[in-house]
Amino acid sequence: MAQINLLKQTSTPYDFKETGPKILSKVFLVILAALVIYYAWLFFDSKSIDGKITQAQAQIASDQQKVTSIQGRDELLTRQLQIKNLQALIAAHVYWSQLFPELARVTLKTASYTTLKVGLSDDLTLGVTVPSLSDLDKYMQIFDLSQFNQNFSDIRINGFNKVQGVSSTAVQFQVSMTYNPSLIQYNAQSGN
Amino acid sequence: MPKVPKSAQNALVEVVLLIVVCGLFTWFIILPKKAEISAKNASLAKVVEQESTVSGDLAKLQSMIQTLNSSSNQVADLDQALPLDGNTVNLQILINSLAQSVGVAVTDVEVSGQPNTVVAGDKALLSDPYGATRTLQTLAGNLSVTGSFAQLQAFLQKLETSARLIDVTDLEMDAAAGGNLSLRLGINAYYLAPSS
Repeated sequence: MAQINLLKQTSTPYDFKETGPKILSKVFLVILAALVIYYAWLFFDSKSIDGKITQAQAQIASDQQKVTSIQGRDELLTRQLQIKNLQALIAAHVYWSQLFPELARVTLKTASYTTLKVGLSDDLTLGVTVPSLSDLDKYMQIFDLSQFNQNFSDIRINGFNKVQGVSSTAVQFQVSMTYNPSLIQYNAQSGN
Repeated sequence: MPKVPKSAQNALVEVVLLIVVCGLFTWFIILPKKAEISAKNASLAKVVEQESTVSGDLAKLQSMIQTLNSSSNQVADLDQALPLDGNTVNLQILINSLAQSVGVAVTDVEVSGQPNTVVAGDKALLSDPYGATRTLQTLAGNLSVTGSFAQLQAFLQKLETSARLIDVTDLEMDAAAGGNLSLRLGINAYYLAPSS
């Protein structure tokens, strides 16, 4: 008669304890292999980046070489220097011809100028002839009016004397004044 | 308590060892490599940006040279306004021509530049006219003209607005013979000379 084992089987827990670590071991082996593959990928990626950096640096060196040796570069730099200097000179350029119309506007109609001396020191010296002393007085009074002393101020008379003309006497004097420097600077309205 | 088989014990040791190896491999090899790649990527980005800048500069330079080559009229104007040589004769010719155009008589012109300036026949400069470093130089001078007030004013205006940049530094006007006026001007003209 065949013998039947009716006792509860105890091999299953033994099997898990036996196979579990083996499975885990295989899983970690796979993980280790994946890590190695990942490292290999990182290694080649690093080499690839090195290659790209070298390539870009070579391109930079080549472009820099082209920039320094390109034909016409020296002329371009010279022209740029010319323009830069010219811009600075133009900014400081003055137009003395703008002084005359304004001087005429503020001058007494009976007065005439015999000499004019002006420099960049903002001082203007004029030799003036007027018919009489009262005209000399009027000549000076004009510069007390606000509409006439915007561009000429600080009028100084350096002595005067009577001179005999062809038909009448006149008064000659020398006058110094300060002019407004903006008067001789570039004026877009006048085109100068 | 059931006994764990020998082979399972070995497998457990293997698992522990593998965990340790994986951890060490990650910590000491993979993470430093990743940090290295990250740094390299940053420097690659920098180099690429630099390359793009240099390449952009090169393209801009080429375009500017092309524009310069096709702007001969403007270059001629520029050379007239601020010449590249200190030739005083050209300035005197210009002043005489301006005076003639408004009918004033030039009684005196005197322009002086840097002493011993080579104004022609500089072989080194002729072979490479733009290679030399240049600096701004001044030609200072005086000139006297006579004419009516209107003529002198017109002359002054022409001088101030001439294509050659001429600065009037001081101005004196006096009565002259024949009811005319005499105008004496201090002038400065400029040029870009090679630095010696």
